[in-house]
Amino acid sequence: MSHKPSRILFPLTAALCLLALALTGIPQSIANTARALVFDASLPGHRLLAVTRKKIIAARERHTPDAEHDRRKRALQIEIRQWQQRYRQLQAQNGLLHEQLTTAVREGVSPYRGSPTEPLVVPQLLQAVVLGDESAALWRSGTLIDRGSADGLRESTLVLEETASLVDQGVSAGLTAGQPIYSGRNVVGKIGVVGRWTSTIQPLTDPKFRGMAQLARKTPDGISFASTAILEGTGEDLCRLTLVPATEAVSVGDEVYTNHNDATLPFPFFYGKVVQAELKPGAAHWEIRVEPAVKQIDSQTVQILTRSLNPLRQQAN
Amino acid sequence: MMHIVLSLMAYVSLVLDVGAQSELSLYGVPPQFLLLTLSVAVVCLRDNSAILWAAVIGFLADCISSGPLGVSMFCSIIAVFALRKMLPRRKAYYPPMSIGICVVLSFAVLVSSSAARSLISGQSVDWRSLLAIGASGAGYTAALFAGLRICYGGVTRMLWRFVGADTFRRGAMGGRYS
Repeated sequence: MSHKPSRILFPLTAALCLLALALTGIPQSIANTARALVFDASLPGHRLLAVTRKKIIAARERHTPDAEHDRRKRALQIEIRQWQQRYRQLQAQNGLLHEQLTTAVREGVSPYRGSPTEPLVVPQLLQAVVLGDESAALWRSGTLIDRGSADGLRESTLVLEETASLVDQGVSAGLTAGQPIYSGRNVVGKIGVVGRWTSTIQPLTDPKFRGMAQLARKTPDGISFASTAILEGTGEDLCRLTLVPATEAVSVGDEVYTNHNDATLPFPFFYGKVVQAELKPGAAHWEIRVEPAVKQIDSQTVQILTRSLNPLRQQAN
Repeated sequence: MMHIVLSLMAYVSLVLDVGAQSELSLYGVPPQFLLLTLSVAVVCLRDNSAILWAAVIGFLADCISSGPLGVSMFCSIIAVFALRKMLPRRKAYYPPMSIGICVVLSFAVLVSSSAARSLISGQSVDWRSLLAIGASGAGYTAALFAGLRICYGGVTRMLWRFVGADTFRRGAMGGRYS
């Protein structure tokens, strides 16, 4: 291009203006073709723009204070839950040791040393997957088993008719009704109806639920287990703890564990906390309401306690 | 070199005008990236190629607008020609003048092309709203132009410092208007 524009500036402008005016008169189809060509040429740029936009949105989501705050909150909640479980484990351990010490002080230590023997019954925690609502519905509708009862593949009618949550283990895994179900260190409920491959969960709040329990009272020396009681489901959010004698000291905030006198498992599991405790005048027992630790099953897997004959004892015989 | 930079700018402007104009709108005022590129061409090119760039960018603006082709092209060519005739060439590089050029150019092209399109399609022109839209669009584009100019100045200063040249002797824009 020349650096003396004045000579050609006017003719150039006039020519381009004429071209522009000519373009206004071209048929619509040609104009559309030109537009389509320009748009097609810009497509790589649009793809790049879309990728950039996605990255910007992702980066913004990562770095917004709300998202960061939520992530930290979730992490802290998980950490709190883990520490609470650890605290309960140590508390239960402490309570058991305290009880053993009290017994030893009261009854004295035997002058003879007994030799340890193999137990007759050994516990086994069977891991089971909790079926989600969708899978449970498919299972109950028979969609997952497309062969009929003639093939012997039909699930128990009792399981199919129940509306309770399902676990993916049944008779084939050695389950029987009434076996306790745990999630971590918390009691979820019991096995309700056992089918061939699946079983129903009877939660703590189920009106038919009954379980042996023990109150754990906090003392300056740690927790101290009270006498055995029964935890009952009421069909509402809170459970009822019955048969706690009026002579026991009970207060709101006391914890409720499984009965450890069974000694199947070394440590008791956690039912929940006392939220209401009332002793009516002249009553022989407390009226206690317990808030379950597990109101809804959040985890995908649960553990089911099964008991079997010790194989070492079988071999010995 | 300038033509390569302008080609890239024109392509990016086309993509942004089609794909990101609504997202980058401020209080309902969309930025005019193609007019921003045209302003850069008018300010930076000393020869007649600015007229050619006006034709190209006007044509691209027509392609992404409704109505007949050639309207924005014609308005852009006339606006750039008028600016070329009215302003001394060297003064265009002076920063306040270049921003003024961007405002005038954007306003003129936006208002004239929109009015022409309305008239061609047989619609009446609401001049008040058209002038308001043109003024806000030109203001936004000029703000982007000023930002671009500041970035360009900063990068140039850093480059000159990197190669060891005296920026004060050469001037902030590399001695182009000093």
